[in-house]
Amino acid sequence: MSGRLKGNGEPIIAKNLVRKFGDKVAVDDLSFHVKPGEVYGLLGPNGAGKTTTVKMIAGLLSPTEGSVEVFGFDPVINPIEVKQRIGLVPEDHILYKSLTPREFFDFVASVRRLKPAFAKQRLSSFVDAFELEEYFDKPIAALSHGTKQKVSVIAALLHEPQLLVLDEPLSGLDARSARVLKDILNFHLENEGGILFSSHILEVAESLCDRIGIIDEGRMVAEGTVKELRKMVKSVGGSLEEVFLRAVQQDTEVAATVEALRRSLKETRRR
Amino acid sequence: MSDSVSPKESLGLRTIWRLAGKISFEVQFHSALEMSQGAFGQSIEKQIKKARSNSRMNKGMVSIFTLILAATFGFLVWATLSGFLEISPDLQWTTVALIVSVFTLMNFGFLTFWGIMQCTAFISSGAAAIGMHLPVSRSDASKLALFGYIRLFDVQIITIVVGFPFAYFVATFSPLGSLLCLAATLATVALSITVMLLLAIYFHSKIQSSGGSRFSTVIRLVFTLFFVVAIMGFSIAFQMLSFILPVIEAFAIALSPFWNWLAFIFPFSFGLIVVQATGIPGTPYIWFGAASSLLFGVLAILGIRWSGRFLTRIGAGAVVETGPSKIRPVTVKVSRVGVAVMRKDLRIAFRTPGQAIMFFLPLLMMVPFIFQFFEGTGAIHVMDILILITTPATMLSFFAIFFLSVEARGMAFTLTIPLKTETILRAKAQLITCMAVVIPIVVYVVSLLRPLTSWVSLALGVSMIPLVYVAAFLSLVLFTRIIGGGRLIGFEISQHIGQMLVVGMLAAILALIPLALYGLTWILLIDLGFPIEIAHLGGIISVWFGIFLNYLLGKILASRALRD
Repeated sequence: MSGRLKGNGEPIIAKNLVRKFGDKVAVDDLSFHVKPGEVYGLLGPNGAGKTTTVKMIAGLLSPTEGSVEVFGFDPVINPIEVKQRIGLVPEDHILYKSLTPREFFDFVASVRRLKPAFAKQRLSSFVDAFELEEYFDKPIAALSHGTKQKVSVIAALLHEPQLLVLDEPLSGLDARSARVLKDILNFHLENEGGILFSSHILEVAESLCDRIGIIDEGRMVAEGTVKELRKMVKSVGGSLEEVFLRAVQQDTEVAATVEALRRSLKETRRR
Repeated sequence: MSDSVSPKESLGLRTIWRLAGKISFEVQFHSALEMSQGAFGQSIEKQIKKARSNSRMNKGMVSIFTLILAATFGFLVWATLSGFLEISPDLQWTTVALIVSVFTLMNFGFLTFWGIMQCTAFISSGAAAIGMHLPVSRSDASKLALFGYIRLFDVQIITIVVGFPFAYFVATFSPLGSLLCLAATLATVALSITVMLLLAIYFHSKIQSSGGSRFSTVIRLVFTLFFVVAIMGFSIAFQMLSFILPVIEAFAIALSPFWNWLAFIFPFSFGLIVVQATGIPGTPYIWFGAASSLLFGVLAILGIRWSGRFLTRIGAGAVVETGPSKIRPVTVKVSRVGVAVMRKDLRIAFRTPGQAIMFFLPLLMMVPFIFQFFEGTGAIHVMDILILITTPATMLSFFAIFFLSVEARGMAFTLTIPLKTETILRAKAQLITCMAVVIPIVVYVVSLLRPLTSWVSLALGVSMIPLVYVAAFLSLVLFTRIIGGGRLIGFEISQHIGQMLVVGMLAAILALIPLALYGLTWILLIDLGFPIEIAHLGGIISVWFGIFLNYLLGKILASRALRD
């Protein structure tokens, strides 16, 4: 393979997704879709079910109920077809840490059956752009958090995937690399690619995403463009943070917690 | 600084010793984490608990081994001096000197090779510098580093230092000899710690600075080999305990003319002065031995003082120089999928010594059998070769499952790549098969020691290669079906011991079927009156038929049991 594999249908259609771990319901009746050329942001507090949803889309977890389609392929029935078409940047760096980036990319290019010239050209461009050359022969385990993230991002982009599934992709990246990644994402969109962007950094989501789905306790609590979301919670002009807290009904609770913390700190200072 | 912090003059030795335990645990935790990264998805609490129990178990095992070794060598000294071993009185001194020297040398090797893993972790983990971040004096921070290092090997050091001198005293009732024995073990421990530290610094700087270069690969291989040598040394030493009497006797006789040279070499010089102090008559070159022992003693003291100073510097926040790194051009090597998976597994396995040892398993398992072939002069029967090859072949099929956990947490990445589970499992089975190549080589080496009764022995050895492949693949498919419902999942071996045993046993039985077919066909053909060579030929054909059946079974099972 030397280029993008085409698929039919929308990048992602998730219908009534449910995922249970024993008695715990991590994802509860979640439905959304990602259109071609669109960045869809999946926002939610820690433990909301974002990563579980990402894993179901990437074919790493089977849904307990409901279904997902990635370009018309069911990740449970056709995991290989799905994995060929997506580039996944997981939240935690799932890499072979005892390998060096050079050895790791050799492996990635080989198992994705990329043509050597295509792989070389893309890899060189990404390594240059992310300034990874210096670390190319160091064991991944010895790299900093941000550099590991760069390795993870390049591995996801190497095969020119049709859909990018990014779970906190900017985590640990310096300002320069974050800018480079944003530019790469824009280029990806120009080529009709889709992006699912999972994050809890609201500013990034606000600047990157065309539509946003806010999930809490596994459920979709609000969905739409930033403008629509603001309208939805009747806080026109408010920041996305306010929209988000209102949507997950944490605005009053957070205010109370912050006030209690402030009082406690004041008391310790007096003593 | 606010008054919420209450500084103290000095922590006191007791507190430092206790805190040093935390530092040494941190280092062991780093080490254990590297060794057992099959813990995909396992909670950090579980990993800490496991690291703690592994550390205790490792220390316990090494100590028990050291005590057994000390008791065995003490017994050998007694057996030599009491006449239990039929050694002529004029060779008693050389035998006892050899026993003391070999024990000292073995412990030097074991302590150095075992310790080097944790020693490198001590330098690279930064745990030693913890003291610098605490509100303690510089002197206390340094002591914390020094004691943290010593506590890594405390139990082993105590058993080495106490075990053998005590066993020697029980065997000889010589206070002076035992005292010198104690001095010899103390010097050995000091020299071992120094060498360990020097090697750790070297490896740390080379590995960190040269990353994936060829030089670094060689260094890493050497590092892994150290570990393998330690494991093999332990294993061979244990397996040789029953052979050790004639071996010691033969070596004592062979070495007796060379003591004028050995007297200058560590640890033989110590052996010589211990024997002299015990009062065994006829000990020669005593002044040479005493002089060089004194020299090694001084070296040991200098070494331990340097180690103390170095560790103190590390504790004070000094960083080990890693040297400049050379930037190589960005390239990518695209290979066939199966080869890429195997190469990746191989690289990962060889960077974790605990996994690298698996590649030497067939050889380790064959060692005790090989020793048998040194004795006797007649031709080696096919049945002996069958016994020799059956253990590694069945065990390799069993151990295939371990290779599912080679990727450790990287398994989570494997799940994201567009490869069929069968492709990945076949690549792992092929890797296991590479290890089986050593089986026919060993059979060939054995045939050089003593003639074989039939060509069929060599043919059987070669047959183990495909046999291991099909049996390993079967066990991998079965295990994947049982624990992952037919899909690869990250797993922790310790949580699936039951399933692993069941599947492993099944794989071992499947591996045995072709060998059983060989025996049955051979007996049947002999009963039918065929010549013995025809019976052998029929047997070999049956083996390959059995392998083919297993191959078919694997193919059918893979198509039904694996999902994707």
